[in-house]
Amino acid sequence: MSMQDGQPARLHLEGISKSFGGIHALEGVGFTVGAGAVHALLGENGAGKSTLVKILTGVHAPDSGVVLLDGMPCHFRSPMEARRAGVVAVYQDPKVFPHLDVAENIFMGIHPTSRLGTVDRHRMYRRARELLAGLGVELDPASLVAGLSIGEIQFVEFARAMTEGMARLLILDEPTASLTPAETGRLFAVVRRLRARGCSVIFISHRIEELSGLVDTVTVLRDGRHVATLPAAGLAEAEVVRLMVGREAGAPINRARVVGKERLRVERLGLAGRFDDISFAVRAGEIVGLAGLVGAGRSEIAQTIFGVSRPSAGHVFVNGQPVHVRRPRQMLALGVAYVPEDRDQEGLITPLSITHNLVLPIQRRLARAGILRPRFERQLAQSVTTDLQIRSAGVDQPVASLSGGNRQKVVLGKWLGTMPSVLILDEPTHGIDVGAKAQVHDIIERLAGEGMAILMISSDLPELLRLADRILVVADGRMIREFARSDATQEAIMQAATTPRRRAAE
Amino acid sequence: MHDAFGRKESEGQDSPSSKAAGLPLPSPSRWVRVQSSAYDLMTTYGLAAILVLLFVVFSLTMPDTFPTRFNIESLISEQAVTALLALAVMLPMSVGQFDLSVGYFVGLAHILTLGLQVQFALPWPLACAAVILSGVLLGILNGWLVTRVGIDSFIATLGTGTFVYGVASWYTGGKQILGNLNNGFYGINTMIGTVVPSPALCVVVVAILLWILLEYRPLGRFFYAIGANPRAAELVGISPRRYIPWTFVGSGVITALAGIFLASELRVGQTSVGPDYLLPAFTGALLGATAIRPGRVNVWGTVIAVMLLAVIVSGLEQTGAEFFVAPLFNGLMLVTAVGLSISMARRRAKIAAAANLAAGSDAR
Repeated sequence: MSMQDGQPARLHLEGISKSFGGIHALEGVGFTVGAGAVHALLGENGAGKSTLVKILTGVHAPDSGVVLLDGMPCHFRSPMEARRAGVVAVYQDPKVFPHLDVAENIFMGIHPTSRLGTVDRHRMYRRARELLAGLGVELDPASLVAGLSIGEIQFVEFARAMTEGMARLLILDEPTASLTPAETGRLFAVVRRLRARGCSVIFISHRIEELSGLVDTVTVLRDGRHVATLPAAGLAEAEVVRLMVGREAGAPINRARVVGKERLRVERLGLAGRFDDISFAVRAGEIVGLAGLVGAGRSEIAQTIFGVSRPSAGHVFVNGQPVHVRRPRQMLALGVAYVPEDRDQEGLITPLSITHNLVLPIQRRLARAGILRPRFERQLAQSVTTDLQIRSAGVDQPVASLSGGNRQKVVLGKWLGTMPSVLILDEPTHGIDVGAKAQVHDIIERLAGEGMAILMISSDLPELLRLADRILVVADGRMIREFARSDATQEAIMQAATTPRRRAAE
Repeated sequence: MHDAFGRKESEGQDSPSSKAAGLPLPSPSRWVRVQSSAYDLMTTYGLAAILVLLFVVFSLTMPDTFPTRFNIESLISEQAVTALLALAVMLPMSVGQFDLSVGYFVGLAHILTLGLQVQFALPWPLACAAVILSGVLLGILNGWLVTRVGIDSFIATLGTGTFVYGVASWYTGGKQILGNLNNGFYGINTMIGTVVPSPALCVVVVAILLWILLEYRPLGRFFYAIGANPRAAELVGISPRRYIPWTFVGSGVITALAGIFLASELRVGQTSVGPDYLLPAFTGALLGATAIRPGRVNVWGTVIAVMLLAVIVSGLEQTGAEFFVAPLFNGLMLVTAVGLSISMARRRAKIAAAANLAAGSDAR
């Protein structure tokens, strides 16, 4: 039994096991979270983090094992019970009521009432203001949630977690996945404030590098088992990755690419109200990174080049020829492909099979005399899935049944068949686990090695630094700086990307 | 049921699939695969099996009236129109669009077929050609409203359909269209080789053409891709704006054909004919999405579903059920068909995720 200064630990887990239909999601997991500690829970997708969160919040009951909260055994039967005991989870995409205001969201279902049983709006707004102030968050309780950023919506959830008094244990499930660096900074400030007030925080994340300075202890899970619990101080990132993946990560990147002719050139491109005066070029075999904050206009630039939106100014050249493109189809015909950020909504046709998704761009070419050749298509898909290590029960499985990393590999695999001369990637590794990420990096490297010109948007700076030959930084719809790989650092890019916002000042 | 409702099949199944990546498994589940293929077999041919079963049951319980040549012939020719209309609504459904104008346009089409011959003295082939042309025009209009103006297809086709109904009523003035018709026109609704009614042959021909188009031509894949995710289709160069109108045109042409056969069968033009066909047509297409190619609307599923509905209604009527049993049954079936597709989609997703899980562990 672990004790801190004679006090029982805030949370103590011992031998937690849980299986679903004969599949062990967790096996004998145990670790301890101190009172007022920030504890990182790391692991690849499928390592068992989500199951553990669900056990802590009473969504699932463990098959065996002990959960002690401040030394008392607890068996929550629902998230409501856990909440009452001060254990609350906040997810990366909180479910809120966008058409209601902040205070109403905080008190949804637990509205303060007057003696007549009507909602006491005055008290509700006063309490909401107090809660937000307690978090150190500047948010108007009367503003509509629809207008808030994801980061601010998370703060609304935090406030909601505090309605019963200070939470004992706050679980943040990948809270930074969709946050801008600035929002992440605000989130961390709030987490530090909570820690100072004695709240313990379990912080689940994929972005290991961001946790230094915030986290006290790190626990790594792998394949449902507890791998290690270590003090965060002095823990190297590579060591954490090794623990998560169970092998050395970050194989050396092949730098020996031959950079050839210019494939894509953009001159003074603009889209009214979104971005302006963007000029750059990408050559064959080159990977050009596009860095910037979320909302800086990076995706809009990519989509305008690809013909989703029509530019209001400037020119696009493909292989030296000016093009006036109105539809993605025309751009594809010119050999330019685009991999959107949101793979499920835009990149894939999830109900269709792996085969059908993979061959969709070359469907016509694969047909003989206008008749499809399913067997040939399947063979082709088979070779692509083997090549890219796409794990599935077969190429006839719907893409919807794959994990995130495997889905992204299907998206990329689509373009192996067409071999476009220019490939635009929008956040190619967003939300996929470490192992799959390395594989996606390998694929991107390989495509560039085969002479593709690649423009890669990414918010993941280590990824850009690892892959890109040059990095362009965009802020507020303008090109701020261009870095060669040799003089790019995370700090320099961040500084350029957060150049004071003109628009905010206007 | 993504094709019919623009909703994704994958809803709410992210958790099992995201677990697929790295869980240790006790044993590679051959059971999962057996289960998966048994389920595939059941869903693929279940509807056809029920059809055969019911036919046998009705034939055994009513040997004197049900399995007679007369009953089967009239069943087939009556259902030819419904089957054509079910195929007509199925085509836009493959791209995720509804065509409600079908039920009204079949009324106008059969009135026009007769009216052009009786009142304008057009030779019957010309009258039929004119009706088919009007189907093309209506399809272009629907496609334009949906893809260029951007009106939801449900509303756009409800609008054009009601308008078409108004035109039909205006034209007939509420009266029947009667008159002498050319024998050649009657000839299009006849027995071919004394066994197959010609409307049934037309259904078979249309079905085969659509089947080749949807299952064996790249275009069919494009349709299904658009139906499942128009945005993703656009980004791989399959423009919904470009392909959706064709499905409405196809729907209009098939509906026009149905109208022509209806005219040759009824020989009287009435505005009230038509809307009654809409629901059975949709039921057929939606119920058809649960068979043969489960999870999406498809040709043979649709044809089997229409036949199944016809056999049930005819069987019920012969056992002495009242006239109102048909709509009662059709309404129930529509809801059941959609409910069935949704639960089947969920189950398929579960099985697929489990199968991937098993495969993932094998690969380790």
